[in-house]
Amino acid sequence: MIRLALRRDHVPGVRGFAGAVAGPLLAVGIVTALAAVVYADETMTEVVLLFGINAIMVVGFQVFVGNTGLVSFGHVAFMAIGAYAAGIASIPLIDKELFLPDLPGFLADVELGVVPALLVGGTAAALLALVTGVALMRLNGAAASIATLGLLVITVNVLSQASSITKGPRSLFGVPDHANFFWVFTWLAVAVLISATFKWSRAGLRARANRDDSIAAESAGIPSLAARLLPFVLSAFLTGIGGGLYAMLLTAFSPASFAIPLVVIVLTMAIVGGINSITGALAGAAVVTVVNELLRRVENGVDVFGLHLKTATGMSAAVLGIALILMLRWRPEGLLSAFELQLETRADRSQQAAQSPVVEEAG
Amino acid sequence: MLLEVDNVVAGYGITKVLKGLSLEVEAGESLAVLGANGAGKTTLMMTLAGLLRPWEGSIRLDGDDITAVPAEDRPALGIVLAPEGRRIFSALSIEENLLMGATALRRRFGAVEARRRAAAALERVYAMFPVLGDRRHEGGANLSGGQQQMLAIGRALAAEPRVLLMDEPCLGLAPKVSNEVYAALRVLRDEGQSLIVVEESSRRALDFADRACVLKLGVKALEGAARTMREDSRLLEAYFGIDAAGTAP
Amino acid sequence: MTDVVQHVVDALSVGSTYALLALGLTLVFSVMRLINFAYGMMLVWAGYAAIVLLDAGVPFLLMVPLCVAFATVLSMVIGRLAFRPFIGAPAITLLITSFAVLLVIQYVAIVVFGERPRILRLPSVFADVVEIAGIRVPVLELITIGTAAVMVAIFYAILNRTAFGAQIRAAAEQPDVTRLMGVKPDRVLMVVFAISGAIAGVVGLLWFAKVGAITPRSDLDPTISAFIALVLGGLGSTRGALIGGLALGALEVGMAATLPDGALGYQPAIVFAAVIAILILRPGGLGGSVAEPAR
Repeated sequence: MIRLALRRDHVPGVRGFAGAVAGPLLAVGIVTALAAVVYADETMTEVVLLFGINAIMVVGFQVFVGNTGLVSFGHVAFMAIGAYAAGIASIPLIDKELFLPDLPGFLADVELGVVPALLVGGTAAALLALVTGVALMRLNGAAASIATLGLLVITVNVLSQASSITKGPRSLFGVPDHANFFWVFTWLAVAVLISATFKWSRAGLRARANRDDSIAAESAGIPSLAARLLPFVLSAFLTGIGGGLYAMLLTAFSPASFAIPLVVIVLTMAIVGGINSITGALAGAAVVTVVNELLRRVENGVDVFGLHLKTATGMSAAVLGIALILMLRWRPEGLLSAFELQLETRADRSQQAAQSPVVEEAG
Repeated sequence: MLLEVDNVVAGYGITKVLKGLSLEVEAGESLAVLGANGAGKTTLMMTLAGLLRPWEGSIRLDGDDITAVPAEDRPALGIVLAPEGRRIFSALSIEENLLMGATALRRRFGAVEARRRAAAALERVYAMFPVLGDRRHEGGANLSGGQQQMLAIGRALAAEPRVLLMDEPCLGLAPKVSNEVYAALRVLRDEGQSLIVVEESSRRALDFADRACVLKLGVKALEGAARTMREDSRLLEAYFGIDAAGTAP
Repeated sequence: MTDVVQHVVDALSVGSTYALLALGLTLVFSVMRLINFAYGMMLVWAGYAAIVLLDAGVPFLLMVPLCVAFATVLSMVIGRLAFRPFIGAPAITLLITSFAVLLVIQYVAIVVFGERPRILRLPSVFADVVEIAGIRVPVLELITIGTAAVMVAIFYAILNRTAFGAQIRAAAEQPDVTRLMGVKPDRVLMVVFAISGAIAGVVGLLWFAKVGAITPRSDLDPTISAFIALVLGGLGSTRGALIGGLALGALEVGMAATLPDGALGYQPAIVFAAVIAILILRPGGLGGSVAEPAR
């Protein structure tokens, strides 16, 4: 008899590990099914696809924040790199000649399909994370967070300058419209699979042990570079893929598309869901998307009891801000705290009573 | 009865440390609180000072219930703690440390009177501890352990406490210096200052105090005149794990 | 040679605004462990207040103190309503809370003032350039440097010669013990937010006098600069704040002056990269041996 459970840890053994990975995958399945229902409504296709892509971003973000305890304000940089790398790689050759005439040789001859292009995007982002992470992951707490913000500034700056490759500050056109329901939600499932596998792997456990150590030692301890670097790079990879899909959804974008508003959305979704939980990342993305949609309708004007309500742009951001503050005050650990959806059998449950679990999350 | 602690239960997080502790101090009396590590001595001090809110029980100062009074409001009522480890402000000069202690006077006496009393307090402290007077504008961090303890005592005195709480005043100090600290405490005692002194090793405390009580597992296990308990020092060692020899751990 | 002196004055002017901002940030940080993401928005609000007052016909010399007073009160209100409930919360929570606060007060600015840029029109003397010993120096830069010097002096006077200042220093070092002395933590917090708000008010005027136009999203530049200066100098250290701010100013102006034309567009990236490099070498910031307050 397989049952669902919400736990901070998982049942020991291989079966427990499988159950711990299967749980979030099931969550993705549920989310995908719900999304499919909404997708049927033609007016909602963009919202659903955006939701899926945001979910990938949040899952990617969570891999880093949940496993290292550091808040990154710069993950949007990985989105941007992923978007540009995947975008440029996938633009058809003819269009490349038209839109990016100054592209250097080897890039001008490349045209990749969906999967390879996205992998290129993810890898490019991962490389950026690797190179910068070696420096950034040595820093502590606030300095690290601020440095990640710097990463965003630098990346956007460089992208705006490298005109021959990226068309600089101007919009990049011509990215093929590959972002459909199938690809977005398949990649979401892949992201969750990778995230869950990492979370319960030895490397993941080590990263979180290091995180808890640092919190106890504050600035006294020396952070373990390796323990932090792997989540950073992995998280960048997933975020980069999300960015690539984002590019394929927008089909035209510029460096300005990757600014603070994106940081806000991803951060809010992660906090609301619970930064220590993959299931939470999905839940947070869903909740915030729904609320944001409702708020945007009000922003655009909605009829309530015969009154036409309309507010200035940015209201949804402000409401999110207030919601965030209230959330942090009354439930800072987020909706799901450190709990994950898990699959387990009744036999496992009773075995639990006899044995101690694999790991206790600090939450 | 100046201070009454009635069946106090207190702790940290989910850990209960004090499990129904009661004690009393009369005005002008000096009480030594002894106990092994973990018996609840510092928890008691924190609760009396207001840094910890008891889960059950009450604390009365001169008949008034002060259990719910926050820590920053207690010095103005006359209950002042000189915390464990001295904890003087290294970012402030000696004089500033003392004046910081006198902060509570403003609320008790009003600005003008408070300034006068603070100045008087400074003079008293410098008279008691000339070293502090000589170096009054130097940073608090430059002092030796013993001098820091004197400063901590002076800082607590500056608030004109009705009850002075001292948490392990001799922690980490050499025997000779510890004797000096207790000499100072004796002067205060003789002037009529009510004192509660928490100690892990018993000899000096029992030599000094009028009465003593021993904490064990969060409750008061033994109580009596200090002199009597001093004679039973081996009992203390055997049953309560108290270092009766009086050497620093 | 004159070029060099001009650059030095530039760097001092830019650096002193950054130093002041870092000072405002580090003050609040030392007492509450909060790095205020919404700090740049305080400058924006000060700038808007100036525009409103000037448009209403208030004479310039009266506008300035009113603006600073406004910023001071605004900071205290925000501190009381939005940040006080989070005293003692972990650093991440505080940082994100300040982010959320930014969203809210930014939205209010959007509603009230709209997204289109507004111009801060100051008396023409601010746009003048004087010539001293053959060097052309913008008046605004001189005023900036002078104002910053005065403000730093006042700041240190408050910190070291007043009872408030002693309480702030004590609370930054050992908040528990400070409570034992009878100092109300709320009181200290309000004083700190007041000072930090006043600084934001002054710097806001200087900043937008230089930049000219204000939009509700003009907070990003000051916030990022303030953060970099803060971290560069070392968190929780007032001396570090000054060093960090001046260093950042020197870096920026130095880069702008020495970078070849082709690379000029990359200036923000290079500056940030240099900052990160410095942080790697000196994780505690340039403020060096000044110890972080004990916790």
